[in-house]
Amino acid sequence: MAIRVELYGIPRQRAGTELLHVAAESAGISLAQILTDLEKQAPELAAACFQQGTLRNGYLASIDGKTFVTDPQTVVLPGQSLLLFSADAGG
Amino acid sequence: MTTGESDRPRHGNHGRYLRIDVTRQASQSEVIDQQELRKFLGGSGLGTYLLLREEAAEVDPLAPEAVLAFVFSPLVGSPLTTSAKFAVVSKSPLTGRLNDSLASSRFALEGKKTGHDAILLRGRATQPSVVLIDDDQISLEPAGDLWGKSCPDAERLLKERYGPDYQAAVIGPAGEQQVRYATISHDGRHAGRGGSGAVLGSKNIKAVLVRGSQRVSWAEPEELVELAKGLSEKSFGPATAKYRELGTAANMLLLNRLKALPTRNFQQGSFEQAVELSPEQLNVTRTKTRSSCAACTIGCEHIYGVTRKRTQDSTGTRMEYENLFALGSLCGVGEADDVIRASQLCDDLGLDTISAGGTIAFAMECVERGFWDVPWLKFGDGQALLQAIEWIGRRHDVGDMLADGSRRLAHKIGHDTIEFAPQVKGLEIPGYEPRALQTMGLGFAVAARGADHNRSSAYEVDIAEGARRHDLRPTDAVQAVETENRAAIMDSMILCKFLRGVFTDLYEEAAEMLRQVTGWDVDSEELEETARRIITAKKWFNIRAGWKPDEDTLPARFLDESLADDQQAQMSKQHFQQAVEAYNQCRGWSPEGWIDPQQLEEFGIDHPQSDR
Repeated sequence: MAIRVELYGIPRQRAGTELLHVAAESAGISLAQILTDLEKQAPELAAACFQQGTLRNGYLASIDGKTFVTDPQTVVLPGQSLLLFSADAGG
Repeated sequence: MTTGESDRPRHGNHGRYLRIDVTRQASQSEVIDQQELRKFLGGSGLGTYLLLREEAAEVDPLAPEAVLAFVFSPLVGSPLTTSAKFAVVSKSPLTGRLNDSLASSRFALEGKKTGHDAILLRGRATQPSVVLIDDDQISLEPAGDLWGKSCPDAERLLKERYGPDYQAAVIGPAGEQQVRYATISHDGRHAGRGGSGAVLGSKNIKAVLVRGSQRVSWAEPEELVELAKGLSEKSFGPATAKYRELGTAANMLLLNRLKALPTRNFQQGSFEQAVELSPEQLNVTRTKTRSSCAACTIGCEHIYGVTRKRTQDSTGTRMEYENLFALGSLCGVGEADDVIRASQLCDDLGLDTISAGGTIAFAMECVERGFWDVPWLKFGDGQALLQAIEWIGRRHDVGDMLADGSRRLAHKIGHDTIEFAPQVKGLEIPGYEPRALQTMGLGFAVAARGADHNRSSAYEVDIAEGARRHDLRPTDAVQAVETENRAAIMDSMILCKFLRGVFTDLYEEAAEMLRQVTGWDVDSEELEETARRIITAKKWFNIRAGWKPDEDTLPARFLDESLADDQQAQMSKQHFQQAVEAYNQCRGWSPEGWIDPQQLEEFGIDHPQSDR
């Protein structure tokens, strides 16, 4: 079972890909655990966008595009998508 | 008006504005005392004050008596990053309400050096002309040979004619034709929304040129330089990375994923060809250079080759999110070549891309549904898009109807098409689907100049931790007010919105800038009150111009229908109305939105006609 991590904007630029996957048990895993896993998969993404399991200032996550989260303890379930993007909404 | 020496500003401002009557070819320098400058700052706020003072609200915006103001700010000319900005303020020929549009760069720097905090024009020249302002020397020069020239050509020819020291704000053919959403352009950037270009065109003025030698002093120059260094350093951080690397379109694919990318005249919230228009894809398929406004360390401008890399065509055009959405997904056009050409054509003609795209997309839906017999104007047809823009700019054929915007077009077509005309107060809705970003929708409804993301910025509320973007509640009005207040300060200081993520406490940091530039003992509390005053002054202008409560809403489509591709994205009229009332009450207005005369007095806003 896996969580799909969709990358937008700067996170996508840093990772060099639009999509990553993180394995998860049925009870889900925390945002902090997801970010720790992503550090191994995409070190440049991690260096720019988060540190020690926490999103850096200026970045935001969303679960399925419905709820927006930064709390590292937020639980994400397998089958859900986690979106990572720049927090500044404007254009 | 008499002013004592103690009322004259000592730093940051000149304490006077220039009023030019192009009919009489006469000008006057008028005093603005320090108290008024402090109450309204500059840019958008000072422009609103000046228009009220000049009694511009009741006048037809295209009549000779109408006032058009170029307004600078205390920060213009300072070392603070992104501060080289000016506002163009007038009554809008598109909305009939207050219009304040901003642009950047050397026109602001040179304009302020003429020794004025603002330059106001009224009247109508007897022949196509340009206004030449060289410090205190003002003249009107014939410019019939420039009539019909594109914005960039006119600016280049004027520099050749009068010299490179002059900076010019020009109109294109659309302004000459008084297209109601014509822009005023400077150095490729546009004071874009609301039709200020038509106001200048109605005065028979092709351009305003400025050159000056009068600098203002700063109250604490050494501290200001240090503050500016710190701000510049912060402007290189993660909060602005997306603008540097991808430009304003950085969130296009995210908005598409959130079903918030307006598509085919707001019938859908996602576009199947969004990837083709995204900056990620444009970076791959065509050449790109970056640029920035004068005195800016962010550098958000991404100039893409008009055609793909394999061709020899080396021309490029600035591509912003709003251009890509309005001329792309909104019209169902997914071929990037067409969208970039359309954007370039709008820049050349001097057209607001949001209103051009919004009006054309609305017309395409009218044609699709059989309400208007213009069979070639179809969603997804890039050549039709280009032809429509060309015709709008020249008011040719159906372009003449399209040139008046979607609201007027709907009234001409009839069949209740006004229900899906994508506008508020006549101003076309920018690239944020209101049903998917509902606090933004509230911001669109209540903003003084109509549907507008720059004066409200309430998408900050919808895309934030804990947000419920599909569930607008009256309590969200508080945050809508706060984002609008912050925008009012940034637009009056004037600082670029792309700095907003850099500030920890905007009011405190802005107050420090003002203290060091002007010497005023302003604090964050005073600036919060200043923001409320400016928003109230704008509303007061609109009331004087004939505003009624039923203007502060969204078109019926947004309150009746869910998005075709997202059933969750829907709003009820009743809930939306409750949120509007809550917004009005947060502002201290009546639930319907009327201002109590006592509040005008408390804010120091003159109100000779405060009856409804």
